Amino acid sequence: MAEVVWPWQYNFPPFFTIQPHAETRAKQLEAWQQLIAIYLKSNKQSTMDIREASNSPLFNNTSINRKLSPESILTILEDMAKSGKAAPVDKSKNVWEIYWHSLDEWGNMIYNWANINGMNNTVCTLFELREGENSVGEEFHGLDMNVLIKALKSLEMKGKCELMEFDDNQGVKFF
Amino acid sequence: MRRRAGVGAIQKQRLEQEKYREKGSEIQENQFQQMSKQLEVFRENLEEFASKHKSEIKKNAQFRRQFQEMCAAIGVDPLASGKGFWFTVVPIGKGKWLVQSVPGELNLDQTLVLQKASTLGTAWVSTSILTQDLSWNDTRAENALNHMVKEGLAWVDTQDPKETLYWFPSMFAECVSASEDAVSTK
Repeated sequence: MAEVVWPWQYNFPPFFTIQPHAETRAKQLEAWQQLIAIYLKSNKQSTMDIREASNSPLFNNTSINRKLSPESILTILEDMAKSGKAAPVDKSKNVWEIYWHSLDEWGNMIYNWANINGMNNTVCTLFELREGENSVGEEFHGLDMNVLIKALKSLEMKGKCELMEFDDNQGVKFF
Repeated sequence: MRRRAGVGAIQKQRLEQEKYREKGSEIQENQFQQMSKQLEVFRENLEEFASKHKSEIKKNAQFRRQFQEMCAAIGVDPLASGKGFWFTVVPIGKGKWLVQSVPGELNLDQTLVLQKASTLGTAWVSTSILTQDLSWNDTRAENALNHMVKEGLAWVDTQDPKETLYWFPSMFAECVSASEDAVSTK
């Protein structure tokens, strides 16, 4: 697990209580969003189960004896969902996808990479994108499969690629 | 024979008591006005000082810390704005400056709360601390604290096993040094 540089708020005890004052809460939620993004990014993680997340160091600072309750985590994620930075996977809103880049940003990043590497009009598998040698060092290398597909679908909507299935595999053709 | 107090004497006594009361509240009123005025003058000077010595405050870490302590003592919160408050000092006329990061007026009780937190060095206070140390009743303590939450000065912490704690980011060391870093890298 990569080292996370914790912001000052992480050691500030009231950071773990959702604030009643609207303006303060807005600042608090903003800081949590940034921290969640940093943490998940450094762990290359895109999904989160609220029921387990309460015990993760991200939401549980044992050194000051403060933790974020599942309800509070839900409040933050629902706020992130408003700006397209997260989306619930199940109906009961226990499992969430977190987009530390928006789906649009992911799509553009992959498209630019494909362009630079002269992959237009050729088909490559999603496996190649995620785990191929060519994409080592790219931010999307190792990206969650579901998030990757959603990002490519947003790209497809813009007419920049086409998703396809062949054999047992999924692939994409960039235009 | 014991002489009973006459009606006249009782009236005279009552009149005197009333006069004392009047005088007393007059003095209190005067003191309060003077204090508010002094505080206002001090704050104006502080603002003028901030605008004059903007670059020095940014450059010199020790100076900046002293300045921030001074701000905390009088209830001006230099961190109320994310940018740090010397960036929001704006001219509004000849020699007049407006500090936008001060959210509303601080009353005397709120100033006392900040002073208490500053003396304790904890960056937080609670109702029980205010009732014990300042001999306030619960209502007075709760009013002052709730008001500070509403002004965005205090953060609520409900995870202490004993009682709700009220924290001041402007006195929380890590926050202060984080904002110093932010200022010095600008």
